[in-house]
Amino acid sequence: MDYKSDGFTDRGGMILTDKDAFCEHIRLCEKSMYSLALSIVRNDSDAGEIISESIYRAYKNLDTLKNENSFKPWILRIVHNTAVEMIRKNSKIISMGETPDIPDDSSENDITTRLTVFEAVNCLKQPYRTVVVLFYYENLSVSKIAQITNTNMGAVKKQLSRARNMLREILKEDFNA
Amino acid sequence: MNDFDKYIKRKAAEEQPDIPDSVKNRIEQTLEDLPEKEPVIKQIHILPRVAASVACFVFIILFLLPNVSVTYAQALEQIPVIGDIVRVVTIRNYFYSDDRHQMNIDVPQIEGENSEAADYINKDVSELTTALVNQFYKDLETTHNNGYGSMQVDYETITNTDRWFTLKLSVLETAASSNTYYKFYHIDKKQGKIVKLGDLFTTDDFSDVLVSEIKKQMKEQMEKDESILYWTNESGLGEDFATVSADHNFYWNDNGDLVIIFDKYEVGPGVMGTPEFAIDKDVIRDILKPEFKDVIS
Repeated sequence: MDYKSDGFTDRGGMILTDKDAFCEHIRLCEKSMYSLALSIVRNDSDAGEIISESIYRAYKNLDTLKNENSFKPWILRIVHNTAVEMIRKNSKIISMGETPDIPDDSSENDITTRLTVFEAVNCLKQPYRTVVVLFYYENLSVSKIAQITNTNMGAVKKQLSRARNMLREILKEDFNA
Repeated sequence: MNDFDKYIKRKAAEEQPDIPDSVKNRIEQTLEDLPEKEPVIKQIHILPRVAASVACFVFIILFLLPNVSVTYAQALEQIPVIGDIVRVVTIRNYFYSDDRHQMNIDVPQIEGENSEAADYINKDVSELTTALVNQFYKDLETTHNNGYGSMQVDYETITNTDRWFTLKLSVLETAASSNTYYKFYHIDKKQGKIVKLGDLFTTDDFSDVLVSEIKKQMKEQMEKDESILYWTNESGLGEDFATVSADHNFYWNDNGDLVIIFDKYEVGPGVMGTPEFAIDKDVIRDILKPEFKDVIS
């Protein structure tokens, strides 16, 4: 993984140099790291492992982060890459190309309790879960999401648009209620 | 933003899952285990600088530095080590000390061996130590009274038999935390030649053999002991190191096994120190050049 070309090295901010400052930044971002990791692997145990590994990697490559104002997208990109690598290597973890668990029409009628939005997001397949988490939960811009997920803004916009339609379908009763 | 987006964002804010204790604890444990940050990169910068500034450094070490150093400890008495012919002595000591900065650099020299190999090592050691001295004073100038730092250089004769000679130079740099690295020099006494790792083998594929064996040992160690961590694909902590270069640090242990040493942070977090992997002589026997077979037997 090339951290040097991460696009987060713009000049102008403070440079992180010590462990305490690094830990502080991690703690500020840990919730976002968790949400992102969980959106990809969908279980706490693997999410914890990914976050732990990402922290090691980030710390090891801290010198490549030139501007601490970019810490959050930088660390989220590392989390994303670490999670994707883990999934590719570990067949036990659910694969990226899995069939979405969107309830079909027949079962939808049987649902008596409404889905939470988070459950609905969990029904999406990848990469939609991740873009939804980054956009709606982490309030990140399309361009930042593109950087984090190693893609371009056009692709992120398309993914968001499709994800929005799927969520609308899943949540239509709640939304219209 | 349309109503649906607003609805999702509002719900997301309300429903965002908290980090479970198990994950939170793991994060804290990981942060606690991180070594103090220090100039890991420094070492990488120093060595190329050595190559680039040879002529200048030779001049400085021979004529200039002894006169301008804050403290210049004169050459120590000869300290014979082992062996009848080759011995290693400290020819110079660079010393500096104030409340915040210390430097103690012993410069060894191989004597009693009038060979090109010994000359080469002496020159290289001299250049490296000079570069470190310069680096120390440069850092001193940059940080003035604002930082702490120390530079210790020590050496050890690892092997000195009729067949083989190995000198180990240890560099310990301390800033916010410490960084240790080594440089090993070997002389094949039978041929009177400097030997580097790549010279030992009949094939360039030696790297694959060593890498595969080291990865195996890393995996075994990590499976056996959870506190052991290496940057490997397997552990998910980083990318596997792909090659062992032809001039990588090594030495022969008492069993005749080949020991490969990594610098601090090279293949694992700082807590792992400077990992060493002993490669059983049987693993390399087939690819070892005939002239070195007697070293492992």
